[in-house]
Amino acid sequence: MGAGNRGGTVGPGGSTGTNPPPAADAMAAGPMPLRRLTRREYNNTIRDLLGDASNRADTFPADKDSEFLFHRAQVVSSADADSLEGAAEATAASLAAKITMLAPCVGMAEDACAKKFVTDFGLRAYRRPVEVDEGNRLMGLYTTGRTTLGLDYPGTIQLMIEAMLQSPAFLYHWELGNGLPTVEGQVVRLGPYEVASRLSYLIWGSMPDAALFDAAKANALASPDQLQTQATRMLADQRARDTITGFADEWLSLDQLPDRPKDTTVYPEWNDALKAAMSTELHSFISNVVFDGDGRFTSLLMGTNSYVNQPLASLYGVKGVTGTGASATMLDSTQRAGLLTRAGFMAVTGLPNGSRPIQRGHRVHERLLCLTLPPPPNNVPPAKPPSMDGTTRQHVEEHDKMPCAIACHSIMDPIGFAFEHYDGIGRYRDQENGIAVDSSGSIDVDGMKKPFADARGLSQVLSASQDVSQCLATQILRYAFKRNDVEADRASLEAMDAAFAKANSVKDLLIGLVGTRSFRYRTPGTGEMLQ
Amino acid sequence: MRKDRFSRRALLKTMGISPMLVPLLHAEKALGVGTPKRFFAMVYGNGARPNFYPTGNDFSAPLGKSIAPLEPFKSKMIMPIGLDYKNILDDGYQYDGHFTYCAALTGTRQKKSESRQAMGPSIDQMISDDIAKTVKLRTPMLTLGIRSVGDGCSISWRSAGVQNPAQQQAAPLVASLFSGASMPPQQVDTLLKRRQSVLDFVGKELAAFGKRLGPEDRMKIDQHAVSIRDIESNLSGAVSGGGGANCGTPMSTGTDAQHNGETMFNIVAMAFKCDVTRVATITISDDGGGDGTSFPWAGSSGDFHATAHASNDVQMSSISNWFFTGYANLAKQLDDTKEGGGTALDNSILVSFSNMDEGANHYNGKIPITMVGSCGGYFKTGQVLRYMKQPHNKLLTTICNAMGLMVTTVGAPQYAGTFPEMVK
Repeated sequence: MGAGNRGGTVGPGGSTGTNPPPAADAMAAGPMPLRRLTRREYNNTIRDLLGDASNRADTFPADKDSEFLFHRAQVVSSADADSLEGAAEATAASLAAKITMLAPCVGMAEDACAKKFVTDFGLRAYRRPVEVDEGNRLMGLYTTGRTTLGLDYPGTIQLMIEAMLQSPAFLYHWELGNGLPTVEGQVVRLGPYEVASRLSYLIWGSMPDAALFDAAKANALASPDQLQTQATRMLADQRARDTITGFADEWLSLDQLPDRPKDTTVYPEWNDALKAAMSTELHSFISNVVFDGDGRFTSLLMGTNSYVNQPLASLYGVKGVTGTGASATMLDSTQRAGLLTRAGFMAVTGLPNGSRPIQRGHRVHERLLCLTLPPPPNNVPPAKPPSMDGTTRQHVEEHDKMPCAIACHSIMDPIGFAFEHYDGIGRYRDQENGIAVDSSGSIDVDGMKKPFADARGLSQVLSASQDVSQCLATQILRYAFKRNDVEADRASLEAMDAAFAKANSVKDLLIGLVGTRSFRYRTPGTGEMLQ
Repeated sequence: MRKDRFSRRALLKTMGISPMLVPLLHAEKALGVGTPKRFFAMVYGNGARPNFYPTGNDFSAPLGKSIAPLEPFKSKMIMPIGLDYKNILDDGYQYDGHFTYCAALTGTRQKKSESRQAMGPSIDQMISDDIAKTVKLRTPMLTLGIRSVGDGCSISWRSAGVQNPAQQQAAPLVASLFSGASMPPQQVDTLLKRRQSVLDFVGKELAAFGKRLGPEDRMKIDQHAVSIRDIESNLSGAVSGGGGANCGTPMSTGTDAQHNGETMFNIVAMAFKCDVTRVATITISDDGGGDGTSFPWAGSSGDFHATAHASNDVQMSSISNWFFTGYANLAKQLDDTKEGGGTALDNSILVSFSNMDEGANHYNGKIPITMVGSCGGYFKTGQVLRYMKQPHNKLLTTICNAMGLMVTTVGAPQYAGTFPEMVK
């Protein structure tokens, strides 16, 4: 099977696995199309650059396109340009009190102070040394500010920041090097500042810190060992937790929780506070396992430790929790195991008024196995709604007997039946419409059909599966690079697999990634100027 | 690339207008044009049920549940029945209904099954660009989306392959569109000069940045530069546009999916009344398809796509009824606004398209369409018109003409022409 669920070979029906692929090219590296800061990256970068945590990018147009699972910024439209202008103006306007810190000017001519500001602040804003031409243009703007616009020194610094925040050097990840790129064989080696940014945006979703800038300046970001040492250091920072929970939000679409409508005649407790509590639980659980616990992926899929407030505790049937703040607790291990059995994931994948085996099975198939299905054929009637007699499973099974439905549903539905103990908002149930729930099913992984009794059994199978761990590595690489994987990434993905195999550690996947060829090199773009 | 592309000030000078006077330049007050015309389009997914259509050849019978909210506006409506997304049919794709969003307002689509790419600009962009030649509005064009992240394909296109993303959140729009419309002239002038300097700088940075990139990446930077020029050419409007006797703040009913959607229509109504914009679109483009789009508040808790496939008359009509409640609410707010000898609705054209004939068949012909408003007396309203095998491109061209943009075709030349029977 190997790379069957990886780049270039994904297609209807998923992997075929007929012929083993030839060995991966160890010298290859994937391409890196020009990409712009996402909303999250923009917010974090402004926070770390200027100490401003206003999160103005929250109102930018969404970083979402139909061709890619994870968030990535789109081509700048007029609406984007407008938003970027507004955010830059508001950010700069709020800095008046900080100018003496950002651009101190004591005992020097103001012009000289401005030049020093361009060099010092420019390095951090552009995440690399400012080039001579760029510096000249910035000083040109300084002159405009002081003369045409009649601004004083602090006012002109604010103007320059406003402009720099709209400059492509700030808004895009620049990976073309200062001067011409370093070509090695078929690939381009990234420069130290580019590697520093790749590290910081991978692990923090933000700009490099002083230690990374220093390392870049000292050219101490060249070897895989140096990068992995930095990555290990960076993973101890709070910002790494936000990255891991942010990854999970996008990977499993947990970030859709706030927009998920439910039928409040069926689930009267469904409200914003409950949705927020579900989100908090998921984030706390993930963060706890990866950073405070044993760090194992298995624990993410099997753990029962939890953080709930009173309303969520009530949904879980946990006694003794009061108040709206989250308290640490353990969930009933006969009912729950890991991420996939949590209320938040069940609510995101559930119907407004019931469970939803097809969608839940599809989510596991697509997100944890990295497999895709062809679009459904026309003229297929859906299964009966949950409100009708019988169980959801019976309705779905009846639906699946239609000849046109067999091909896909024979794959998705037996996976989805695992979750039949959870209703549309994740509450546990033994019966549906007076009939005992049957949550047994099976899943094809690692070339075998594996049966399970319920979602806990399914999670057990998934946590031990090589297909799933390979898919996780693939998803992390896609999330990191904001692009799908390609054949040239295969050796890098295999290196991640090996790093993960040692201890089943999620953090090791990130540390593994930073040592790969695809992280440190790139295939140049077609038509890119290389000499 | 023109060298003077960031010279808005130069342009004002050649017009003999000092930037100091820009706030007074607002809209037609200075240009002597009549009451403004507005264009609005709503495009939504999963087709229509039979009760969407009037039963006879006129509006004498009550409207069916799907569009019942439009009942008070029948005398101001046209229903063109039976138009096709013919460009897609002619390319050989009959059941690509989920992939027609890009064609609805452009009349084009890349010749490929399930393509999401338009091959030209949409009419909202064309009309907005045309208006911008004479009037500077605060926001020349509004592109809004309700639950449209899932399918991720815009109905609004800047040009071939370049989408205008839909704004999904109502609350920040309320703040950005309707605040600070009255700024003292001195302050306006200062802000204009400042923005001019910054955008001039950004334009130069983009030009330098793009130099070494390959063509695919350079396209992104070139488009970024186009967008900078867009906002640059509208500097004065962005600062001083909007206001007037009918202007207020749109009612925001909440931030959950239902109320965010309802608020979007209120925003369009107020943006038109305030003359903040004259061109707006709303996409409701998440067809479901496994992603769980549903409308429990409208009485449909199932997946939208599955409900459509099932031809569930009651639920599909209820969902449609909710879409048209927002649409009719926009019509009502405009109709309640007196303007010239009529109402703001009379000076507007609202149009709705679905992306397919019917949810169960995905057919991209016989598209459900409504039109409301006479666009300043241009359209002969109160009509039900039936068509066979006619391209919707002709409707797009007719609407452009009604808005004063005298094109002869939208999309490919073989779909040129208008529908004279719609016109007075």
